[in-house]
Amino acid sequence: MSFSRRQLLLSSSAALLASGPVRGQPLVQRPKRLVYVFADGGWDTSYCIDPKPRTAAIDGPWFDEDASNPDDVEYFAQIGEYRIALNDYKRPSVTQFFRQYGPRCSVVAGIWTGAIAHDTSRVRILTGTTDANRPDLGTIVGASLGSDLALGCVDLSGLSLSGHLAASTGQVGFQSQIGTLLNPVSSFPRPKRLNDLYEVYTPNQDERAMLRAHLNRRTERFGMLHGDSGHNDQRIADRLESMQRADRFFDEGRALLQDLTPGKRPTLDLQIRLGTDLLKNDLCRSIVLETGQHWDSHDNNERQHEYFEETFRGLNLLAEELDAKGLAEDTLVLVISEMSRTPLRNGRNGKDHWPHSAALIFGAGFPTGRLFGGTTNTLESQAIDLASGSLYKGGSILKYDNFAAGMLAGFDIDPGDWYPGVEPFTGWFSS
Amino acid sequence: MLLPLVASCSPSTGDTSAASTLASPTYRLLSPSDHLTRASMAIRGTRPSLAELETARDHPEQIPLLIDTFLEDPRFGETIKDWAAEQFLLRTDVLDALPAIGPLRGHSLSEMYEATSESPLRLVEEVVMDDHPLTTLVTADWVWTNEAHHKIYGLAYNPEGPTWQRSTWTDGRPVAGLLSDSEMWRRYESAGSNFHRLRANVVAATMLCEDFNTRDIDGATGVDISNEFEVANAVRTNPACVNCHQGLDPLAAFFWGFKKQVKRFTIVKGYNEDCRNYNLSGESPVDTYTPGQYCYPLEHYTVSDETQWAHWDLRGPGYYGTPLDHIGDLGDYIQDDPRFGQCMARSLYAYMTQTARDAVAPELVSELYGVLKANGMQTKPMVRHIALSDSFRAISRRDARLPAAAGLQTVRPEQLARTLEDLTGFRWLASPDPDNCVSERVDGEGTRCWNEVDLATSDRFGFRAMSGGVNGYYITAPTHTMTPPKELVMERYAFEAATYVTRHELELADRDPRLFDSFDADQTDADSVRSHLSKLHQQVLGEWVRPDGPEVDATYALWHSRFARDRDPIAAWTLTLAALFQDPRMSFY
Repeated sequence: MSFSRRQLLLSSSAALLASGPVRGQPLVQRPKRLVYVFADGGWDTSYCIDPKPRTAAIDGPWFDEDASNPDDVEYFAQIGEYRIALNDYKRPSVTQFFRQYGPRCSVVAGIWTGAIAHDTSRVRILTGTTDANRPDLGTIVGASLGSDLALGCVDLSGLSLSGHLAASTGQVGFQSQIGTLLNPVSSFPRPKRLNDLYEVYTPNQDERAMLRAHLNRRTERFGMLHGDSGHNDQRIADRLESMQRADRFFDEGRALLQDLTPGKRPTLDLQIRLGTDLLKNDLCRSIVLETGQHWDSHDNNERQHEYFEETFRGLNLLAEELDAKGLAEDTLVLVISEMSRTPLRNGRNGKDHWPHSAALIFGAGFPTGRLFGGTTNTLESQAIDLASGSLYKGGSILKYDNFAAGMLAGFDIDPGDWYPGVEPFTGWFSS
Repeated sequence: MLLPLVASCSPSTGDTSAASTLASPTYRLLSPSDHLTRASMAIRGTRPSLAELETARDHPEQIPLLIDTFLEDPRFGETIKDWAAEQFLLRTDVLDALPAIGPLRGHSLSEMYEATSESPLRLVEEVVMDDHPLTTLVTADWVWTNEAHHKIYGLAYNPEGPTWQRSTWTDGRPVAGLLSDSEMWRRYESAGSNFHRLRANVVAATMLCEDFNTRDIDGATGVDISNEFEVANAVRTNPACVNCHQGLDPLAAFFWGFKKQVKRFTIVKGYNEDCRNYNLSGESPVDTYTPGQYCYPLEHYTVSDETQWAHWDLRGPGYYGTPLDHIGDLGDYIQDDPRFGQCMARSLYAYMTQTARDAVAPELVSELYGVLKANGMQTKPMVRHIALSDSFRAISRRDARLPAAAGLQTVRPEQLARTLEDLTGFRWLASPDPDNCVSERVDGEGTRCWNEVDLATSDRFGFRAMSGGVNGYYITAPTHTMTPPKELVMERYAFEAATYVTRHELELADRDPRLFDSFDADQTDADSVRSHLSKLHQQVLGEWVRPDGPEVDATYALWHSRFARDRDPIAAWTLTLAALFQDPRMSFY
């Protein structure tokens, strides 16, 4: 029996994309920064970081191949322990990324999201809990590692959840509104119908300092009158902290964020450039980004090719920026979505929600070339040993809370403080 | 229990200092004027007038009467809408507004957004303000509509009448207040094989406080979710699924009459297909929707689709074990379910005291529900009960067994907007559109122009979510503390409002000044300035301070340091007002 190239690539053999050993050491040196990239809407992991053999049980990326186009070929590549799905024609940026940075990556597969609706899954994956009032990973890492900086975490995505750590965080707003606050000249104009044109008073640096000193004294005095060694004291402390951080955000962040255009959502490229600038300038310790793709492909799953292509074009840029800005050594990048997509297509050529997700991690001392966890050939989470990340029939499903707790452990942040009673996933520490 | 305010009104120590607190064996209490401020902010979303503050200070026994007037104030209706928007997550300007095409051409996206998001909120407002039983939310046979909304849904509307009018659905749908409101179910969509379960959970979570989504779904069911029939079978037979779905699916079955999704692009597509009624996908009966149904007026409800659950062999409509027929029945059953009243009581208390809904103690919920029931399920007596309780008035509690003290409340974005408008007349309006928002898209998908938005309460262009509010979709829980972005928002807002005041009241000397009545910019002597600062501390901050007191010393120092620079009183007053508008007594109440 003879095989065509296409069949060979899709059947069993996987191309070896990287040469030499790529399986890295267990985590020893802890990362100091986090870049959290969220793919909002639910990506199809079978199109990239959790590929499956071509069987009738799954409609993988080959489903969209154009047989008349010899360049439109799906194939697998093996990098250390993990395997990825590639198509140089439709997703060249994915190939480029893994060719260059694959050896610096690991994959966590089979993360159980616990829910199947966007909002509830998003909360679980972001925060590791079911509670939208809780801070997400980016916020916790930022607050824990960036207490001496202007901000802990800066959200460039518009969907980060900050909970009770809100006083440590910065946001750019849904459509870059922060630009109008940092640079008042870029404010939206008043409606013409008001026929009321005048220049809004903008305090100079001395006046801002004077004003801030006045408000600090007022707040401290107010705190003395309303203090209670509890809720009220925390509110006052939050205000004092927020004023100080706001001033530093204003002073240090204004120039860095001047490329934001109020009224427009920042593209992934812009989020990456601005976010890595914020990290490089020690304005914050973590950033939350969003891919800007409409991953929720209920009606046409073929769009996933384009979404992965655009996202990995951005991840190539992110890796370049981290290298160029000297951040790669101590910055961990986590790329994740709130859910995945069903193995099979529905009647509209789309795929519906699937509660088994996967994550791509790279950088900053985390082990490389590893595959933690796994899914069956129909993309269902498999039981693992949470300590090692290896498949283990007597083990547990890797849940969103185990994963979040494990990420904190990787940053040397005690997960017990944030997820009491939750067993953290600690595969990063195993060899 | 919530201790009534009998004790705390009588032994007043007076209100000569805003810092004064009243003795109580149970709680450390706010002064009468600070209590009134907290009540006014929680109920009306704005600070009390100077006259009201003086009444509270001099006659604290009249605070209950003042609160009664607050409950009749239209601004309480605004607060109720804010509460309902947060409870049901109905203000979502971060999502695309419906297109202004066809009969809607000429409307801005702001008008489209307002027409859709505010309609159900107006029902909630009316129910509360007009003293209907709160259960009317699930039984009302009318809907609120305006000029744009009635064109979207084909409702009767009198163009000569008021902007918002009552109307009725004419498509034969059973009526049950919010349960039969298209805007509820356009906000909450059903996708794929979800079969309206998301909508069912919205009912359970927001109206009964029984959220199915707090439970994780089972991780190893072996069910192919992409196969609608397999899912339908699993939820009836798979033990891992049955437990939740036997409660959830009968609730979901009520919603088959509603379209699963109505997105902006589907309407655009409808118009691009000339609104012809042919089958879009040919996948009967899953998607029998046709382009024509996506042209205005939208056919959002189809009576003949009500029983489509049977096609999938799903459970029929029912309410926790009782088989029923339609949404009207659902409303009747929710009306009689104590969980509804308890859930509304829990939610309103949580909103008024900035407490997480789940953190409200069950005994407190029970007490408040008792007040609701004793008053024919009318809302105002319960709100009054809360506002007059010691725990609401408390700075802190002395006994950990008591209900938690409300403690310091952080100003919400909507409250800040209302307060600053009341104090200054300023609204933070802006035209955020790029010059090309009209462009060639007018014919294809309608205008992209929003024309005018209020930055204080917009999430798409403004600062609601950045200053602690929810955006209804991504940010679904409010932040009740100060944050760096909120500080930046308040600073900018303060200078915007301060500039507006000094321009209109000092430079242009407009009639009806609010903050500079009988005061001119050229009064720059220390006595005049201090005297006026004392008034502003009262009027803006509710703080009773003397012109020669330490608080005015500090504010005068700020004023004078700016004035001394170039003897510009306008600049000095602008800076000073901006300081007052960012004061901790504005940030907290």
